[in-house]
Amino acid sequence: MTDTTSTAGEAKPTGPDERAVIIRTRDLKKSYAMGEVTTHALRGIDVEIYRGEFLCILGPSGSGKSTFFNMVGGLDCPTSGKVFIDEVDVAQLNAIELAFLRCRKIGYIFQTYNLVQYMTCLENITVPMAFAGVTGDDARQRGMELLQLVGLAERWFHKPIEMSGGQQQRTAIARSMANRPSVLLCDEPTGNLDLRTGAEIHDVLQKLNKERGVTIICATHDHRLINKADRILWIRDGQVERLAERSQVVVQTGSIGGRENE
Amino acid sequence: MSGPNPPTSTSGKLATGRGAAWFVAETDKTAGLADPHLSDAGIQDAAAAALPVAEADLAMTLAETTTNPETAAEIALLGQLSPEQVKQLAPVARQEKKYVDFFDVLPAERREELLREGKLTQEWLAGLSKEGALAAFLAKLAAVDKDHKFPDAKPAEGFAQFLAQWNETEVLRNKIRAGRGEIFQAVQKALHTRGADEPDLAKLDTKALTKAMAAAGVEREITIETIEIIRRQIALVRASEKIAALLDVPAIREWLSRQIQPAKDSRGRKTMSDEAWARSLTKGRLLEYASTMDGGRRLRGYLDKLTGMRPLKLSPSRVQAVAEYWVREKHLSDIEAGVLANVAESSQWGFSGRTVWLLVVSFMVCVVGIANAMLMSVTERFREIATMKCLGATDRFIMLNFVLESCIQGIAGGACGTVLGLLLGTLRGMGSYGWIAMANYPGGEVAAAAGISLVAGVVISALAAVYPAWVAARLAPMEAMRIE
Repeated sequence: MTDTTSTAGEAKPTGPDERAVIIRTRDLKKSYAMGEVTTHALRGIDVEIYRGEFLCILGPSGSGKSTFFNMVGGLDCPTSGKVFIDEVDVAQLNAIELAFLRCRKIGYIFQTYNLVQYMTCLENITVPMAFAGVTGDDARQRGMELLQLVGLAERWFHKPIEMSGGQQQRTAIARSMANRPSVLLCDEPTGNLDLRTGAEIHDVLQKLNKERGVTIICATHDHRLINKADRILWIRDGQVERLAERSQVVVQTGSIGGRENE
Repeated sequence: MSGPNPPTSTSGKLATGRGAAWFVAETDKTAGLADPHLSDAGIQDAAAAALPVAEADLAMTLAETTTNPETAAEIALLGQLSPEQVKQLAPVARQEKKYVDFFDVLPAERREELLREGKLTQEWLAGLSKEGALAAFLAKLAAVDKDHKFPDAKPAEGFAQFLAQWNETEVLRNKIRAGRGEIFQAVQKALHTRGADEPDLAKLDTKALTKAMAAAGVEREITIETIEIIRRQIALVRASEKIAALLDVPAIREWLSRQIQPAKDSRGRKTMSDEAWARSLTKGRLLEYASTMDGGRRLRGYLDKLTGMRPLKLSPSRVQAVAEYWVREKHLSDIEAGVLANVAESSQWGFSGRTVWLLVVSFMVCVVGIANAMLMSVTERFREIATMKCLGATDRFIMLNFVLESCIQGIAGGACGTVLGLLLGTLRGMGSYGWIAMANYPGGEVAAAAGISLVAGVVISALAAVYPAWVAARLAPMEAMRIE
């Protein structure tokens, strides 16, 4: 973990051990009691995630990947152990503080986009701003900037149903960036998309990571997205199976009909 | 039947129409004479019924015997008269009734000049036989203005002739009075000696009554028919009390003031404004009015229609007469009666019992329906809500969101319902009264009702949405991560 090669951009602090930790988990455990049977989803995970890093989480279904993801995102409380986000123990926060955390610190991107169907693209993006107290022209202006960032400025008035999956997901990314969070949690962001549109999403995420220094934590099975990560975390049976730098991992992406992107 | 009479008569004080309730004594006398120890309602009824019959009431009833065999049978039984004797009484009574009617429509001061205490009584008629009394009366009669025509073309001869016949038949009438008095005193005793808390008229039987009469020293056979008459008459006394109570309700009096025309002067002008008229129409005046033949019938008609009571119908023929009269005059539609019954009740309750029941049930249905719809809305938007929470929405925001949404629906629904209710209500009013309904449109009340319905709609919607909103607010944000 300490032996990282420097791949950081300008925004990132350089050098081992000097990199700021944004999310730290300590002996994270989570179990669900289902009648008499207790399912242990997480059996003690210690991970440090650095500021400005692009982390991919891999793991088969039922490995506890999603549970870990929810813990890190402040959506769920651990049974035991602790999660620190920006050195703040999530378990100590009350409902309003958690809402504040989700509003300002973390952006969420879902596999199913989860846009509000009856709102336009721009309105969807300004919803979280309203929660942060930014309304009116300020919100619209900032929303348009974000739409430009994801390349959808000219479609701001479209409803989600009038847009393709890739465009919807790009809108969702813009929405997640509404309050300039330091962490983006992506849950299978390209799971519902084809290869080419998936690649657009990868580009946007990478751009955010590199240009804005946003920490991206991404649960995915998409090898090309894994290929863009700084580090890769494998989870199996509720435990960390392996945590490796991208450079130490061989990632191969194939091609179909010669139309290969990477 | 002529138009409604002004209530000018003072010759009787009962609401019941003298012709029908001849047996009923004057109410104030009832109160005065009732034995204070006999506080039970039934015994008081009997006591009331036992009082001597007013002359005018008896005349009305006797006049009816030719057309109504039931009344004739009743009279025969009470007075222990033969059918021939009853027939003999009828023409005299019919003539007497004409005089009663004549005196009824006289102005009060004129009447008091002519009659002692302004009433046509047995004593007064008997007193006319004294020397000079008849001549004095006829002299005074001549001074009555020409608007009021004496029933006889030649008052002196006609009235003298009637008086002779009246004196001749007085024995028979006294028999009726006496027989009736005996029976009802016996009833009073029989009920009293039983000592029950609540005298049950149904328990009154021939045996007990015969015994009570024997104890009073009267030998008289009591038949089932007599018992029936007693029961009927006591029931009628009770009914008349009900009517008196009805006339105490301001709403009913106010309504009656609209039905009964105010007095008019000789040129046909109203002697007072409508409002002053409504104010002046007290229970006492209504009772006075009812004591005239025509007024009694009218008032009875109004009250029957109003309350659904049928207390004063002695016979089917009478029922029919009132019904025919009713159809002909049609003063009060069913709706009006219904509204009035509600008004009468609402003077105590705010709403009638049925309305309250309907309101409560419809509110409950509304609350359940709205809550269900909102729950469905919440369930449908599980993911949206969870996403909102991921994006930083507080529980409070989510809850407020749903309650507000329900409120807006409440405003929309309430507005639709108000407009629809307004239209239907107006149409129904138009259907009943035609354009008069529009001319007298109760704008203020309708506006108040509309406002209340709108507010009620919003409040109910908000209340019903509290639980669904709470369900939504409790939703865990990680639901948003879940895939279908």
